Amino acid sequence: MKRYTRIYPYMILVAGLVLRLWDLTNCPAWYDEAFTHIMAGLPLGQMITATAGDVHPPLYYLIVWGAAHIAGNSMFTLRLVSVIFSMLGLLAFHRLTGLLSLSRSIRLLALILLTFHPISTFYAQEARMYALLFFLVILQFSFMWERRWVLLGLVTLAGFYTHNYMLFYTALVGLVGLVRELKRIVPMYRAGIDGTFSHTGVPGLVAALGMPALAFVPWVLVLLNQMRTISDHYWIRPITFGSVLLDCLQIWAGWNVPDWFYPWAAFTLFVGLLVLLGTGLQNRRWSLVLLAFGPLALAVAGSLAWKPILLFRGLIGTLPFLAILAGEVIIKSNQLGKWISAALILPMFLTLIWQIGVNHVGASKGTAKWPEFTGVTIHLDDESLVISGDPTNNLLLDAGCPEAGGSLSATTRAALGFRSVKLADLPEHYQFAGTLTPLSPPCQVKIYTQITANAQPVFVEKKELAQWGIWNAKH
Amino acid sequence: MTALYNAYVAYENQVYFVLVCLFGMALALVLGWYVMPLLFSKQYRRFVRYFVLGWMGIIYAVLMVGFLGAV
Repeated sequence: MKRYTRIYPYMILVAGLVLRLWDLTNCPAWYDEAFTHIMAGLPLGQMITATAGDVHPPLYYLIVWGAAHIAGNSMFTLRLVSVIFSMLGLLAFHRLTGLLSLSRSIRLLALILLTFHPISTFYAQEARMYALLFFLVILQFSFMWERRWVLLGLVTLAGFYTHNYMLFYTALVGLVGLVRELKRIVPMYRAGIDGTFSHTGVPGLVAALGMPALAFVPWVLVLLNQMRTISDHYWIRPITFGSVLLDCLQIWAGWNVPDWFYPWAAFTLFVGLLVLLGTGLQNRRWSLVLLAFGPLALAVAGSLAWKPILLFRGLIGTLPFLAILAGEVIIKSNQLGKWISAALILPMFLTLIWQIGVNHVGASKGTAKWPEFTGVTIHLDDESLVISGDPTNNLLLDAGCPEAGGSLSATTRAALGFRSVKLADLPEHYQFAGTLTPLSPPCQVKIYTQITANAQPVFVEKKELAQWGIWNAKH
Repeated sequence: MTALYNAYVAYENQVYFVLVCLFGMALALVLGWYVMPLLFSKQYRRFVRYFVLGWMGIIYAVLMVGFLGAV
């Protein structure tokens, strides 16, 4: 039996791949994915300009742009890119647990937990940059651990240009690396080795993280400029203790679950996290604890000190480190501990099963009836009123509402190339698509009500205080 | 519109409130399981643990019956 244990990780990875490819295009693109689709279809220069007006750095868009131009700009291609990065992340994770000299059973359990985690599978299918971020964070930690400074520098640079949260991961990986290198100085000094400092990896580490930081400065300038322009319609709300707990729940327990299941998932998650934090500190697993909980702490600190920046999706890079901590605690615990752990982990698997059963890419759970791309601009802006005449040539309705901003900057809107039409210039017959949320400005609510009152509904969905739909309207 | 917005905020606050309660219970359970038994001599530790676990189970069940009833 023992000789088969070597293939277990690969069996888990194959199961993970099947799960990730399962129903890959079941759901149409939701808002963010539709944005990726539009970006991937633009000419390169225009795409870069549009990125410069958005909050996310351009590397992911460049990759999907290339993929879309090779294999076609379809939902399958865009989501397949994420599946590939997620699988690469899992492979890198298995390699990392080997580098950390963990026992075979801990490695195996950690891999199972990460592969079948509802959030890891969810973002493995979403046409966004989170699977890439997940992969790069694991690689970054691995290269720091192996002291492969050139590769560490390259991965860090790629990470910076993938997601702004890479700054948090880099700060923490840098701290772990620095402490690790400085600890080598004492025995060297005692052994009487000259030039102690240069014998450690400190210069290599500083160069590996410092040079990408310098190369990131141009983007920081763009980002600061964006923060000024989007401050009028900044969409991340201020944090409270409760909202931070909700973010924890969404990234660490999954969020595509029925309402009645949330309390149990939340309770077991909080118990599990407190146990992992406690045992991690007790076992002196400083680096793992730091990478598992540090990004959340930094994002909360940044939100309190500056402006709200805590967004649960960016914390996806903490999952591998939590999986290792959990695997270690479970394998090393006694029989009772194993039963309790199984009970704590059960909600995670139930969430995954629910996710697959209901709708694998749950982001579109409420909008499953939208046509895949014909109504792509419907998702372009949650608070915009849009008319959709010719599916390939959608128009944004400029209703003249002064508060209308949406979550896209003017630069990005212009670069995306959508034409707008004034209320007075609407055609005689047209199709109207709109979304109404409690956060829609009064002027938009008025226009929305006006148009839909005398229009024929094609499809309307009302859910949790918001509603959206498509109507055949007349001018 | 204002009523809708207020309903939205109230809905969010309810979610946060439930989460803070659950976090408090989780913290109580973990401290009750790991830290509280240390205040007692060895022979009573197991009893203290199960006592805490039992009470948490009862409180959780009562809260959930109320919560599900409200949902």
